[in-house]
Amino acid sequence: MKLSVERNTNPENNERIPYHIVLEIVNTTAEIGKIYHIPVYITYVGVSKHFHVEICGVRLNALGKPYNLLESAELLCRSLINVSRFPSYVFIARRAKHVYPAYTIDDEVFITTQGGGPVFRHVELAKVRERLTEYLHRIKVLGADGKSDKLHVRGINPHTLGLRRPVMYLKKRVIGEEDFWAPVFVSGDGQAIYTYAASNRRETPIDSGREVFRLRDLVAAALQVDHRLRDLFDLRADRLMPETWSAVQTLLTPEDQVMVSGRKYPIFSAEHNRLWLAIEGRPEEDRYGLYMGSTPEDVVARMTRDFARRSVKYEYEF
Amino acid sequence: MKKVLSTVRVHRILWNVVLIGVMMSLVGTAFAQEGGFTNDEIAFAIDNMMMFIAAVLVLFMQAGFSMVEAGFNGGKNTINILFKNLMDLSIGGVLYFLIGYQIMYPGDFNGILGFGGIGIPGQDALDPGYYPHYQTDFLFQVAFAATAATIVSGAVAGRMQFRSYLVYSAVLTGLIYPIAGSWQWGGGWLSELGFHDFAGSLIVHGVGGFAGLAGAIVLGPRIGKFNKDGTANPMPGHNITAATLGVFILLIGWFGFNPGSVLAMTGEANTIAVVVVAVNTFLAACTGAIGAMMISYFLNKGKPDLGMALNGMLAGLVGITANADVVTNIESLLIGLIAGFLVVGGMVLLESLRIDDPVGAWPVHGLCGIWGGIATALFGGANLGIQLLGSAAYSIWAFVLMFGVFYALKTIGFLRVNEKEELEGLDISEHGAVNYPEFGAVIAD
Repeated sequence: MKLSVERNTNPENNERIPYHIVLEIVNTTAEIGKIYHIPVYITYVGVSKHFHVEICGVRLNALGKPYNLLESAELLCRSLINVSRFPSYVFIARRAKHVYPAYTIDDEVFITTQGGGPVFRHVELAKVRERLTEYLHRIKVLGADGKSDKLHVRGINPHTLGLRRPVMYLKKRVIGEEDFWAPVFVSGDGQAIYTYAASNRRETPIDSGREVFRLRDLVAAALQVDHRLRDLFDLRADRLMPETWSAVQTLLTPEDQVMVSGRKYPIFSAEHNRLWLAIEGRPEEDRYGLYMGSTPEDVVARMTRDFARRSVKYEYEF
Repeated sequence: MKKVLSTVRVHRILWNVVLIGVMMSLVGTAFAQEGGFTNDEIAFAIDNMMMFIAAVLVLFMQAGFSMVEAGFNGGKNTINILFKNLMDLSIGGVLYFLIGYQIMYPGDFNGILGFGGIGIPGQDALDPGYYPHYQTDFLFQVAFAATAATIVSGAVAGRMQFRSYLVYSAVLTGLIYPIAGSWQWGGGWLSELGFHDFAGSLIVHGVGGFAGLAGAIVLGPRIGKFNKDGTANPMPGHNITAATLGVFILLIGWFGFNPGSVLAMTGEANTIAVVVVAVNTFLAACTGAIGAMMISYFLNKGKPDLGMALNGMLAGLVGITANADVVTNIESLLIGLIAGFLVVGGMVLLESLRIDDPVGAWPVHGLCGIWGGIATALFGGANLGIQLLGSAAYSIWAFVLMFGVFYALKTIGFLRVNEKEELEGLDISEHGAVNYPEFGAVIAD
């Protein structure tokens, strides 16, 4: 691989990101010929300049000149290449300060562990996370089994190697049934959103917020065929990013307000009354959860059950 | 110019051939004139030489097992695995010499357990007497004993204490294997019933495979092998090149194992038996690999698994070992192919039962050992009931006794290393050494 530093000529952000590290893959990997532009951020401490980059969730710092980042960046990039490619996701254990790169081959996600440990592979990121979590609890990287410290998933930007947050999650949490959890990411070309569910990639083009409903419908149908979902509305879109929520919001028609757990929540209809929704705002995360149902009563019942499961005593009013 | 050179080269080769021929005929004449050896003495020498070469080939299989087991396991356990293989041969060799050989060949005995004395019989007799000589036979048999012992090393890799392995190895080579061998090759009860196990599909491989299964069950799986939902995670070996080399070494070694078990080379019948056994062995190895590759191709959605195919070759070899002397070439192809299917099925079965056998020792040696015993009846004309009885006897004998040994070791806290030791690797925790010190790069943290 070849690394060099070049000036950022984009006037919109070149004060904050004065340089890019240009990483060119010239050796024989699956990524040969690919060029990454890794943003180099600058901060000032007194009169000294600090440069830093974030590559696949690992932050590197250098003092004085951006070129001082090159050696450690190359070392890091070399160590990140596994099965002949860069990771497509990372799992982050915040408390343990560990980052676990995950690699995609065809439609399968791989995580390898050090020292002849197990390899976790599955089509669904959720399964890989579940198994990795179990292993990390067992070897006490995440503390005692069942306690705290979740693994957070992030996508890897295919142009900058920076982190990308999921635009939302698809979730099923029904007492007495197996949970389902799937992060949804924007595709590499920015034209679609996708996730992996029921052993396949599920993708739908971005269409002013409608993609949220379409992908949820797609995944719900696939899970039902896979006997992992009894009621299609048990699958809900949760923790939407603000931009995604803004797009979805334009598709909703306000209808009424309902009382759940002693609080009032507005109810919306969408898609010509096919869908009824209530929104749970989570200001501390700047994320939005959707409860969906076939009627307003159905939505209220689902919210009530979920709040009880989560032992929610106080919810922010939307 | 090119033509002239090649003509000169042909002439030189022809001259060399003629010279070698003349020298050999001169040596032969002198040998016949001065030695005055009888045909029997020459046959004795040739047969013992064949047995000696076969013994060396079987001993060379230890290198193959070492490579296979080390290659199929994590790099942090390499020293430990190689050390276990070394001690299987060393401790096993001494114990087999002291008591094992004459437990296995006690002379007249009750058919179940006998002991002819310490060491090798007939050492003082210069007269050949026994055919082949006891010393040659010991070398051949001790190599078999070490083979049975070392099979287990792969099944218990990555989590067993070294000292407990030494105890196991001593028990197996000193007692369990020789007693099992005496039932058939020592003229014991299975031999009396007409059981047929030509070179040890069950006596050697079955005993090793089922002892390994007992070890794997009592020890429990390696950390991270199984998920809570019962699914298994692959734990890839650190050196598939070494594993592949190991399988090829084992294939070569098997030409000592099976053809050597004819125990003689001289005379038309023996010579033919040796070469037929050799060809059958080779053919079964080939179809074993093909069979396992085919099954893994379907299981892995069109991506055949080399590890499975390697084990398939070994499975074919194990399957043919009981019957290489009584089946045809075509039948050996079938026996190997079915062994190749079985080994993959055995691995899937073990995973579904949450038993962690890192190298597939039981599917290869235990399951295909039984298949070898049954195939002897299906293709080789042996009595099916007796073959089944013998297969059950060897499996149960090895499994139950070794289960007891492993369980006793577990009870006194001798069996498994602790979690920290397992995670950092047995090379460090058990031997204080690192096999690959230069590979220390941290990737994930």
